[in-house]
Amino acid sequence: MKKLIFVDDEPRVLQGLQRQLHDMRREWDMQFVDSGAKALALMARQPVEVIVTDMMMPGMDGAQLLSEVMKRHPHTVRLVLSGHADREAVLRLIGPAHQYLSKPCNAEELRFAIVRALALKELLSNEQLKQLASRVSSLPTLPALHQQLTAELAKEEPSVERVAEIISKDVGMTSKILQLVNSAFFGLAESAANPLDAVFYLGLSTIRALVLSVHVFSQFDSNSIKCFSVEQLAQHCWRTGLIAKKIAVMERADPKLDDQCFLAGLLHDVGRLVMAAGLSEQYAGVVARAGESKRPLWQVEREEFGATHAEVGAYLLGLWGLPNPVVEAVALHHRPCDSAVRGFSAVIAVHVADALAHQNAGSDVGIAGRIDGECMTTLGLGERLETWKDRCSDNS
Amino acid sequence: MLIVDDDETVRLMFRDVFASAGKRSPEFAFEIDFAEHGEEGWQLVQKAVLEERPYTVAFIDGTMLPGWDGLETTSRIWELDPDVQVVLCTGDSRFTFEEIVRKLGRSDRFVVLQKPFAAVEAQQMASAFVEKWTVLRRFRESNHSLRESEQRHLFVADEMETCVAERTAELESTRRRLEHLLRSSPSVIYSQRVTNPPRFTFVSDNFSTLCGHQAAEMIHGEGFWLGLLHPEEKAKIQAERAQIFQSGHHATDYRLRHKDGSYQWIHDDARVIRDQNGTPVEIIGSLSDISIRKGVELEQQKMEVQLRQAQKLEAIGQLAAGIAHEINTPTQYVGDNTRFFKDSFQNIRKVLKSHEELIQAAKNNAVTPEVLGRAETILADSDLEYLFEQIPAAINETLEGVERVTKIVRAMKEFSHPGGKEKSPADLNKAIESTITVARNEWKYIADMDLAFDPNLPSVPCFLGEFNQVILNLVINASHAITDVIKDYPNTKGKITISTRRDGDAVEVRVGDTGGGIPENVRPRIFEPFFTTKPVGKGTGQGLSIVYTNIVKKHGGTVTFETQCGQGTTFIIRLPLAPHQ
Repeated sequence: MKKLIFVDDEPRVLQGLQRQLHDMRREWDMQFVDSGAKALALMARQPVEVIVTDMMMPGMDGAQLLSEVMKRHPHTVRLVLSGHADREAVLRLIGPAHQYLSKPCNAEELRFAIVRALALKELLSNEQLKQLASRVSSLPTLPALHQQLTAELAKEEPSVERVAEIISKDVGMTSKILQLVNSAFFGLAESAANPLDAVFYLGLSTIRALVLSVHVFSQFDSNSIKCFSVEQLAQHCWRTGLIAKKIAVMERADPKLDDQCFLAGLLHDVGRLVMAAGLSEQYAGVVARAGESKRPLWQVEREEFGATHAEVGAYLLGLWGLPNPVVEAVALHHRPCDSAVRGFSAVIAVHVADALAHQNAGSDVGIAGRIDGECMTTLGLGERLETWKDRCSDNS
Repeated sequence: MLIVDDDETVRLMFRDVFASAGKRSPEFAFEIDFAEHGEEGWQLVQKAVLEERPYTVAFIDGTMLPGWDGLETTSRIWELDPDVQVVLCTGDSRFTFEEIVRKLGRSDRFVVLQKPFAAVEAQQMASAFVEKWTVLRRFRESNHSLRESEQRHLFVADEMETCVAERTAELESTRRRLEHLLRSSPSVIYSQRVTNPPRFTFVSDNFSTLCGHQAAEMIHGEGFWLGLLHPEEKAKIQAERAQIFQSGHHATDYRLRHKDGSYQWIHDDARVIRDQNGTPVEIIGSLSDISIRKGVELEQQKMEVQLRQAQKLEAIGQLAAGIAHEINTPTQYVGDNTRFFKDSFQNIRKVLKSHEELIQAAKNNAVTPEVLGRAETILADSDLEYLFEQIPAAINETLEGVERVTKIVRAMKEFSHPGGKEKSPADLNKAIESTITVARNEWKYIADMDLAFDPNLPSVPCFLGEFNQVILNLVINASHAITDVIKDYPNTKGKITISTRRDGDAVEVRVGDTGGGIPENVRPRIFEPFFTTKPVGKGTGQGLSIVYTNIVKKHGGTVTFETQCGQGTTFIIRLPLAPHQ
């Protein structure tokens, strides 16, 4: 049984949740407590998979509680269920909370968020990597882009387009604003995957708060990652995003899929950043070994950790509530055939774009992923693949 | 009398003639001097003029030898004394009157006496000349003084004329100036006769520029002006205007109907002109177009109303997040409970269905272990015990939740009541209740609320919106004060106490907190606008200033406070029950 804990200072809310989730009692072991202190005490006795907490509570509030949980129980998925409509409070939660749900939240929404969180935990079998990803509150931002963004925001009339453009070049900033915009606080009818939409919905004042006051966009300390060039990785990610989008456009996919392809392409190697930053020595060894043996990096990762950067990245983005197709494309970008989707999808686009971006940049073919030709044929996309190669190879 | 003759016999003859004549009548009594020739005669005349005993008549021989002849002597003598009447005696017929006139240059004051002449002739001539001389003299004297005064008059007249000309020019330029001013003045100038009602005697021409009507219409049309007033203001203006003789001055703004039918804002400034005795003579005044100023004023008034509304909205805006939270929380559990009812109902129906089957089977004596087992499983799965235990509680909580939302929404409506321009009687207990409900999220995590309302509190005339704002500000201040005290002690709360009571002809509202109290050095300043002890971005310094303005200025009430460091603060508001002036 999965262990869940619900925290709210209003006993009627707890009782309502308990009754509403009563029919899940055989799958979930649910605890309902009315304060952060009680929740922490309970969690100290037994590990909890998911915590769902209110924000405004006397004594310890939701943000304080989740910060504490992040420190003490990094593997626990942290959700907020709050009726608070204060933007400031939401921004305070952007670090410690994986996802934000708004009260009133209907039964299905709540269940879906919990089920998804639990499923993500299944995806990543390595407990160490799970903790690693779960502890990440933000991804590093390239100093040059951070500066550009700060400069643009300091202008008298910053351009939304320009801000979005700068953000869309950066893995760290893009992932964070999409997490924010997809939180229930902004109440979007559909999940957003386009940085421009995200900047538009959030508004420049929120972006400014994120950059300047909340420091969600942490500037990257280049010394912390030694085994590869972060700038090169950022370049590769951006190109992959562009090519993935180009392929989607060629396939006349709907505009939403175009955005998802770009986003998944941009974020597909997020896991590498997480692992390199969190497991520096061990991961440096893995990178070195892949280089020596001329084998794809992900294969060596799997040998070492039983999981790859694709899963770590997908786990993190999933925790952050990014759209499911994006999470899937990131998770399966080395093994597209495992996708449940038949035919063209973001998974395919990112898989191909990743390989083409590496080829175009003249990267070491050994370490870089190869296109899974067999899979493409199985999916009946063999011919299309040639067209994509033709059109995208010159792309730089 | 002077006798000039070179012939001694002639001289003697004159002496005899006038001596005997003088004896007969005083009018012939002459003082007689004799000269043998012209120059001697001239010297005698000179002497006589100096001695101011001039000669009246001179008998001059026309043909004297040697020296000056008669004519020359005559003209020389006249140079000294032009009034001397001359009788030229000559035996020479060459001397004609015309020739003598030509030579002497004049025809009066002399006669020519042909020799030989009779004594009587000389006497008559002398006496006629004396007569003439005397008249002349008298005339000359009077003429002289006449001329003098005449000249004086002329001079004065001259001066006056100059003066008048200058004044006239001055008046003319003044008149032109005034005319120009009147013409170019943006204001219409008018005068009114002091009658009842006053009648216009003058209205400047630019009246037509002001409102399209002709000035003459104002002057000749009785009640024309009144007819142009806005119906809403007519009575008021008329009443005010009737008071002008008491104050001597009346200035007001009102609307005047333009010929095109629109109304125009004008400023009318009228003054009573009185004579020396203080009796009103006329009213003069001016009408100015103030539509621009009035437009700005109206705009300002509108903006003030909007500002007040905006401030109220701002207050609601500040509370909005809290209100949303207050509504979202019950909505969450109302929804959850309802979902629970739905699931429970399905479960109960399943149980009832299976039991129906069981009953049916029993009736037919067909209860098999399968039928029984199925019913048992469904019963066990349904967790009926839990449902029966929870459903009543869930129903109560759901109803409570709906009640809470309703209460908040109602309180919001009451709190944001727009309020009228006039004070209206209000139930302060209810108003306070609404305000603290709306603001609940601001204090519920920080303090318990202790209410001690006087159930018999009379209605208080007040601006409800402003009063609500006051209570809100005080409650928020109280919760801030408590936050500062309890922030170091988690899981503790302070207390906010609000009480109402009647105190004589006023109502007293006390809002107390268990915060840190107001430090002595800031006490005198707390009601100042923009004064705040809160960090930048936390307080605008407006809260207590608004409290003061709303209570003291708007309601004529008082605001005081009792504070003790470390114990807390109580604000005491007193609102008068009788409307203040």
